[in-house]
Amino acid sequence: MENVLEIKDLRKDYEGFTLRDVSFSLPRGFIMGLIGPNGAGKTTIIKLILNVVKKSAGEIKVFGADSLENEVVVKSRIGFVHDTPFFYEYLSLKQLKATVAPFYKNWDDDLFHRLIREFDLPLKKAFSKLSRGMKMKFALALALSHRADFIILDEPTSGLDPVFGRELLGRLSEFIQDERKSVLFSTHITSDLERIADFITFIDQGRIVFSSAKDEILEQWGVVKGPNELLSEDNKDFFRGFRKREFGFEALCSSVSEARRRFGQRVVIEKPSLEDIMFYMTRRGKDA
Amino acid sequence: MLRLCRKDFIACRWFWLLALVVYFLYGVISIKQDVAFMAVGVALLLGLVALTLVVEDRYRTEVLFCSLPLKRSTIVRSRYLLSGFLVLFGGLIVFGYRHFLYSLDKVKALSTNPFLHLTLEELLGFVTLAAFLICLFYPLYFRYGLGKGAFLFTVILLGLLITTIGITALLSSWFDTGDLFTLRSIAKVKDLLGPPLFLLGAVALNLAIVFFSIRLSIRFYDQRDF
Repeated sequence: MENVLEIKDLRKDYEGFTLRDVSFSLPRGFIMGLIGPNGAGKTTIIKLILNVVKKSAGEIKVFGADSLENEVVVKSRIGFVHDTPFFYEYLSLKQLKATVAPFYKNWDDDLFHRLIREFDLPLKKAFSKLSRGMKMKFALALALSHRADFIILDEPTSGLDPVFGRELLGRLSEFIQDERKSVLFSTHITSDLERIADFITFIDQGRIVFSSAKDEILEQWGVVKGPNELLSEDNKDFFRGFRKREFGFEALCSSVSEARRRFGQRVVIEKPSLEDIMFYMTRRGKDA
Repeated sequence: MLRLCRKDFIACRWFWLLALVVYFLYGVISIKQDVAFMAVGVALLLGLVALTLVVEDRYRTEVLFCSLPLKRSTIVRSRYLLSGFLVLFGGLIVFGYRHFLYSLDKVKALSTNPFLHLTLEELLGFVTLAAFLICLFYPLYFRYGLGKGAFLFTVILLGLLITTIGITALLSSWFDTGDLFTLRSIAKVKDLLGPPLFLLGAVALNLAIVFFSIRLSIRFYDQRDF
């Protein structure tokens, strides 16, 4: 399977924070969700892919080419939406389009205007006068209007109403319909990803915890609920994270079959949500 | 690069216009002194460049433009190109405005200016000073950003000014060459070399400054994180 994005041993050193040993890949035609708590390093990874921040070490390949050596070619095929839209806010949407469109050879003005109509955006209105949802819609319209093969979105649904959130997810699903386009989508709202993501990459404290197919994770992982006397040190190590309560424990395990073998009928095993996984994984080794 | 300049034009044209209006007012006040008029003119050019950067800094659009299919070196070069356009445009405004003011007899009577018409040394002095200041500022801006860069630029400029005044005073007391750093001294060099050689030398000096500054800025900007 051809990869649209390959990241290998990526590292970025900041004062007080290091993103390290980041390796994962995204096959063409799929949506990958990049999840993790605030400050985990999601935005840094996205900025590194776009060369907005400089890597300290490692390799980033986009469409099979080094993202720095072929920066212009690679970026001309990427559409992006940053978590905060960085536009001249006093300009109208029409003027903003005029500042961005000339940099893309494949810019499709008809498509842009179609999206503007569909998103119900006022072209003559100043960007600063728009609601956050409308701002994100405009950023998305810009990202889609040059017929990009790869869309990168950084927390696009954060702070938005659920209606727009759904609309955006629908757009992204439509976008990958031809199986040639791909999406990398960072968020801490995991319910978004449960609807549309094919792959999940989980990052915590600057390290990749796992990067796998979503269905694989949701099938193999489980939330185990049982009496506290089962929480031996050995079993604690088996769990990826656990929460001890007065009447029993809840824990996350990465192998349902192994949990069944270990505990048999003494526990209840439920399918986890991505939120469960994020919750337990960020508190690994702690009695949550 | 022209696309980036066009982007700046769309984003900053009204701010530039405002700067011009302010300049027209201050230009009248400084018309009595040729050096003051030139200094206000250079301040206009720096103001036009600074406005572009302030607007960019205010809305953090560097993040957007670094995400577009552009090399950082292209962004840097376009800044210099834009500054070149602004120097050219500002120069035309400054000298055109002075010409206009001198055409008014009442204003002309106020002036103590010995150069009633545009001279080669005056034009070169103006362009060289503007180019020097811009070329000094940009590497600091691309390395440290607007706030810190502007602060360091001011400190370095003050240092240079104090050093220059000190050296001038020293040389004046030793060799009686008080004109060393004035327009008259440029005229003297021109007379010594002859106009063609002088022009060639001045253009070469400007180009060398610009070239060196661009190289330094690209190197710095390539390491910046946003």
